[in-house]
Amino acid sequence: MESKFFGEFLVQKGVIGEEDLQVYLRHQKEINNKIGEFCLKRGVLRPEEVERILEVQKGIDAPFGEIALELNLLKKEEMHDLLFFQEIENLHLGEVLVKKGILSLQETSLLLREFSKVEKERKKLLYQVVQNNGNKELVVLIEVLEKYFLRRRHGVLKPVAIDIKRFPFTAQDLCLRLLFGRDKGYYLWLGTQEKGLRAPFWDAEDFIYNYLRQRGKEVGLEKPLGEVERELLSLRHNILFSSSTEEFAGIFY
Amino acid sequence: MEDRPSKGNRERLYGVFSLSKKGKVGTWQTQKTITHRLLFYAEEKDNGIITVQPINKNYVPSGPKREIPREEFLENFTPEPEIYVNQVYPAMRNLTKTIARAERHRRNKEYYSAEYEFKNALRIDEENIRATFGLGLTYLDRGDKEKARVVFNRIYNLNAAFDREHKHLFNEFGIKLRKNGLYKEALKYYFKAYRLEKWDEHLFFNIARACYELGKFKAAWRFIEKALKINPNFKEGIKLRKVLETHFSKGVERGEGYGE
Repeated sequence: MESKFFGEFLVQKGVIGEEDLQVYLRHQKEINNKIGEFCLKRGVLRPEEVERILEVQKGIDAPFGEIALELNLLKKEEMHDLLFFQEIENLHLGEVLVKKGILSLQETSLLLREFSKVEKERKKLLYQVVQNNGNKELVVLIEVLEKYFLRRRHGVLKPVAIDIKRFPFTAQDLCLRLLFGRDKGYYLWLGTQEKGLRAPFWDAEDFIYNYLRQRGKEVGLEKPLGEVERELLSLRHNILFSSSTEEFAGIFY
Repeated sequence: MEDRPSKGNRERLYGVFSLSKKGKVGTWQTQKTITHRLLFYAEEKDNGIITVQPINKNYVPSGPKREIPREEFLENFTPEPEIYVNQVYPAMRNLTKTIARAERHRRNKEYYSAEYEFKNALRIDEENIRATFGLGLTYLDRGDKEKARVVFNRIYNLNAAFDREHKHLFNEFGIKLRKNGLYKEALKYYFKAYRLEKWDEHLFFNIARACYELGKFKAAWRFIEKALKINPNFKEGIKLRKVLETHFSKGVERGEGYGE
């Protein structure tokens, strides 16, 4: 259950090469717009307004649109329309490949259907992992890391559960596995399909720390997260500044 | 410009027309008057009223239509036959074909291909009702609730003048939303359909069923009664009424799910 993204799936199946994938991903990134860019393109917000929203977003965990609503910079209908137009205009990797003539629409459709099955299996396994032992720490941690990547790095992070027979996990356990899980019988890792994507720790630290605390309270974790936080943060320092960096990059690939 | 034969002797007018509008740019000494030429697709109805719709940057009629009396139209609008023949007609044809392909893919359960084609259609005409519904339905077919919600919110904002012909789209979208467990959203759509067509037992039944799923039993009762008033032999309706009667007799606030 190691396929996480459609691009990787295509590489694994030998449909495209690893280097080609990187080229298409770069192309996709160039032509697609983030929501802020999209607002500028359609003339619904001024550059200084987008800047203001992004600045506010650094301090709180909320999507761009919600902050724009809160600041009265957008109306609800405008936000809904923007999200729709963004969905229409931005291209998924499959669409890029069809438009570039690498794959036919029918081939892409069949591959996407196959990939969708793999994804369902991943989610099923993950659900089992998370449900086992009612491990709230794990749920929160996954959520935090996913959110962090989405909000700050504009990348998607997907937790992948592999071989869950010898569960239970704890959040700390998970952190260890994030780093050193390869030599264990089972592990849970996170990945994006963009190479070289790393989180600058000073940026990640506040976000993850605050978010862990906030969500920890919300979901009513039985034990305080202090220990988990400390462990996570110290590990991340190690991740980013020790020789483990490569390992980390290997995980986030 | 072009006349399309109609049932009677009268020939209906349709095609691309332009409307010139003057505006000022600059200030003081640099100010000058410029003329904008706006393009519209016009079509005459049987009653002589002309409906005009703006032509978008991709040369397809898009957005809200408005109605203008024939005399006023002829006085202000200029025919643009070349634009119609060389740009608008091919673009409209291309759009129609794209949507037809998308709908065929959807019928064949090729949902990713359907999504691709519906999006292509919407890139040509972002206001297109058929393509917007089609995309939303495709997402729901695929069980992708998040994306369906994005489309759902968009349809709700569309300024298009919905006609009775769109009723089935709202109804179908409502049914799909309900089947995906999005009951509140489903109700909104049924009520949009209700505004377009007041007398349809199936629509009343659908509203009643969504109300039931939301635990709004009194409202469910009201609508199932309406459905059965139109068609007293409506089997599904009778079944749901029985379920509701059981609930009321037991005084149950919210009952077990009313299965598919």
